[in-house]
Amino acid sequence: MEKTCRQHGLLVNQDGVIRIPFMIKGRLVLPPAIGREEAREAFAGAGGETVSVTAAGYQLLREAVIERPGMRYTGEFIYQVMPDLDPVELIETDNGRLAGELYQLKAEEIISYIECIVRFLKKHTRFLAGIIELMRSTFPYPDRFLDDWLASSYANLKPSSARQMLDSELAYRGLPGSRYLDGWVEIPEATSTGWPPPRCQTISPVGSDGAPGKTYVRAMPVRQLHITAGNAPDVPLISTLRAVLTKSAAVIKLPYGAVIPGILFALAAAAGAPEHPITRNLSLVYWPGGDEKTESQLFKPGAFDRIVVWGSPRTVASVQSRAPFTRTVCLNPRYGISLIGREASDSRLEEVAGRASTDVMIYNQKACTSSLVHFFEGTREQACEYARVLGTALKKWDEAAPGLADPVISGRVKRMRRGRYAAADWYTNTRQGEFASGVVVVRGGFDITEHPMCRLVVVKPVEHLEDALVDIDQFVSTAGVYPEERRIELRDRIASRGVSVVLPVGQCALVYPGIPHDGMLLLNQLVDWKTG
Amino acid sequence: MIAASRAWASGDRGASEEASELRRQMIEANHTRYFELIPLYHKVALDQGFGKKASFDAIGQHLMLDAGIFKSYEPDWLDAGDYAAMTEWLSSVFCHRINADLSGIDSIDGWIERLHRYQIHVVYSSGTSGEFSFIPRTRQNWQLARTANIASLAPQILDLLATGINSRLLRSLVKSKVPEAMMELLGKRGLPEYHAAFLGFRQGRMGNQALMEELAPFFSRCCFLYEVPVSGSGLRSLRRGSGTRREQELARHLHREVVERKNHNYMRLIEFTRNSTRQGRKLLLFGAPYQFKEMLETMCEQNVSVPLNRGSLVLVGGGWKTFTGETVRRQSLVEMLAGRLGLEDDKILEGYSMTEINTLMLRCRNGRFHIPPVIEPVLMDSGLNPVAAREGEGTFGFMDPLALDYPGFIVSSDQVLMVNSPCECGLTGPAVTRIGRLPGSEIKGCGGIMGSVGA
Repeated sequence: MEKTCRQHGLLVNQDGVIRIPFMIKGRLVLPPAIGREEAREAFAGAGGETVSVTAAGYQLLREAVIERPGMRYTGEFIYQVMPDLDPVELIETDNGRLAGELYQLKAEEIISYIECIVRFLKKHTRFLAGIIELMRSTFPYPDRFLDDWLASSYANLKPSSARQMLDSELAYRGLPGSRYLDGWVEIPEATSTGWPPPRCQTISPVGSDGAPGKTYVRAMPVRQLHITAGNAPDVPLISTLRAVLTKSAAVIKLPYGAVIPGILFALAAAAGAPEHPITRNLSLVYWPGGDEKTESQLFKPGAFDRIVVWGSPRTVASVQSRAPFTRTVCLNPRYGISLIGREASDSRLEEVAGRASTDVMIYNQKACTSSLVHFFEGTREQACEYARVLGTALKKWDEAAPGLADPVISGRVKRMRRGRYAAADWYTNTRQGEFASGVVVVRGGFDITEHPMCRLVVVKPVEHLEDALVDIDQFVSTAGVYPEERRIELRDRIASRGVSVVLPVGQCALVYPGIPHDGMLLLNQLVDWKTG
Repeated sequence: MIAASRAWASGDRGASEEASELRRQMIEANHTRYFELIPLYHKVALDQGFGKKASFDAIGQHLMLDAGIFKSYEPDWLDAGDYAAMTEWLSSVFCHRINADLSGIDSIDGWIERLHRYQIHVVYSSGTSGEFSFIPRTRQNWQLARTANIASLAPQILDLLATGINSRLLRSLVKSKVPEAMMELLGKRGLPEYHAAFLGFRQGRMGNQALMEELAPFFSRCCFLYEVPVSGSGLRSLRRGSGTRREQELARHLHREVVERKNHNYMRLIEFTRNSTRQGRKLLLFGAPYQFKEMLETMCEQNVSVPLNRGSLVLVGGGWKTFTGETVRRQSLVEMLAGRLGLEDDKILEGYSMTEINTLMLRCRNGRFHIPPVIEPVLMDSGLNPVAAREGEGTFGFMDPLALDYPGFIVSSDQVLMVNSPCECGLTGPAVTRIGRLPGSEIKGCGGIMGSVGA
């Protein structure tokens, strides 16, 4: 991996330009070498918001450079050069070959494969440290998050976790899921109760076969297209892991902002297990979301059996409308909330606010579990006091793990404060005069689509915690509740409104192998259940 | 300021510069007025660390309000028909405390009508969310805005009408009369040579509609695409899919008029256009791009062409994008207008405005929307800080000294390209050459909302 990168000048910042390869069905495809001037030139006619352009023979992304520890944009860009993409190359049409090779792999072999990738990555710690530094220059999250990223990625790829995911998410009739992925499993008590009904069986000229035959079930792999999102750098890796575990001939579309983390897996696979059937059927690539030339091919009926789409409402809606004949698994944009009972109003306020701030800070409030809205049971004055204390807790985060000073976010908060939410009570922390974090106690409703997701908590006072239920719908992924008795009491009612996770305040970042995701056991959605 | 606008529009190159000091003084005076009289502005100013006095620069830096302030009410109040709460809220963005008898009101239209009886003129606009912005003005302020518009628009429009005794007469009138007297005369005399076809409703307080209602009395004959008033409640109910029984009834009525009777209505308007032309009248056609497109498509389907008489004009306004995401291309519309109505490009006027501003900016033949000196444009960067140079790309903000009744220091969600150099058309000062929406902002404007009704 390191040698390949050195040999071809990959994943190294050369005068502000980073060359990034793709992996297409196990084969590394290299981008052309272009210089900084050419890269700048390619963006010359584009507007300030443009992040990607396609030129003859290559694709180009630009990411804004962030000065650390100040966490401010420098005004400079780093350009990522990637190969041009032929979408037809990504589509696998030889189902027979897949059935005879990739689909025959056993769970043990998949887990060994993952082990091999992890081992390979761990052997190259110095190289990886360089990659982390490469990512740091444009990484919009605090340094501490990045420093922990590799460790958390290894945790996701642990063999025991992988096994647990398979066995729990594909479990059926009391048997572990890996059995069904390995091959056909007999369903002993299955008897025919289908058509024709017993009294009609004699009508058939061929009559009945007598005793029903044995029935088998298996979880058959499918061809998957994953369109991932860049709100958290783990997303491409999670999608890749799911595709690998389900033995898919898969294409992972890497997102703007997290191309490098995804490509690391590709490089390790291509170098560590180049001939493995999983590697030879795996593609990790990028194209600009919505690109008609690419997506018209990939969304054609029959090109894939599943499309997994993460992302903004616009991305999800766009994919759903353009791929009506392919089963789409949508990981919709959702958000977290917190419900704080009046029990917090006394001497526990500081402790509860501190815990609640942990749920706010999940991926800098960009993850779909991050808490954006807090319902506080009490009077407006009490809610304002909670907001003040929560603001202080967020200030500690600002000091320990400063967030990016993003002018766009600052502008959005100013708009809220001098516009639709002008009547609200604001408690903000600033850094060098600009918004760093804050809490706003609103008077009435709040339009969640206006939330800037940048360490801003919206507090809504409610007379009774139950009053918050009317504001809860399927767009809420996670609810943290304090205190525990109230959580147990409200858990079913919250969950019945579409919420997937109801946990104690401060613990909403919880993950474990096989955890349901958006109300689904995801691996179960990524196989076809067959009877044979 | 109004006189300066007229002089500027008549080609006086120094007028814009001369007005700038007065404009700044008015803006600072307005800050004091708002601080003392508008509760929500007062709160924002205090939050930002300001009191009764603020300098022009400080206002630009710290006191520009987001246009969302005009929808800072609770949508639930409208859902529940709680017009007392709505009125209380409206008072918070208005220089006057509203004490009105609100009994018996069961719709937005009824509410607006009732406030009108109290000399309060409320206009509204809507975006994709179906949440309305309400902007209150006293009748005096509304009339002031009308005078200002006539003062700056009349010379620009008359400049395009090269022929006719009346045009020459009007042009000399515009130059010789003070704006108020000109308004009075125009009101009495009207524009007898002209008929008007409005691609909108007969009555209404939403964006273009409000302007149509203002313009209609000047013409000897008018035809409206929809011969009924537009219902705010009906429109809101259609967008949000909810509402009281009364609101749903209004929505059905609106739907019938706009969707079910669409072809009939367009054909009636086309017929009016044809008859007026036969009678030798010139025509002013005014509507949103989306509606012009529909009208011209109907003409194409029916294979109808009506070459308009010389001096006829088309005024397009209300945004080029519909809520359904369709963008009407200017060039294709211009070609269709030339093909079906025989109009040359320079007889197709385009206006840029918003309900929160008291001025319509006209696009000149060089593609610039010129900003009259009565407006102080403020180009904002992404962090909502004013850009020192009054040119370049940014978010369009403005300070409107004529906004005497409501906060007139507003940042829109329009992303514009602004230039600030003399134009070949003869006008000076800042102008906007490109208009888009900020990423993530809802589509607004009459083109959008009317398109959504038909979708």
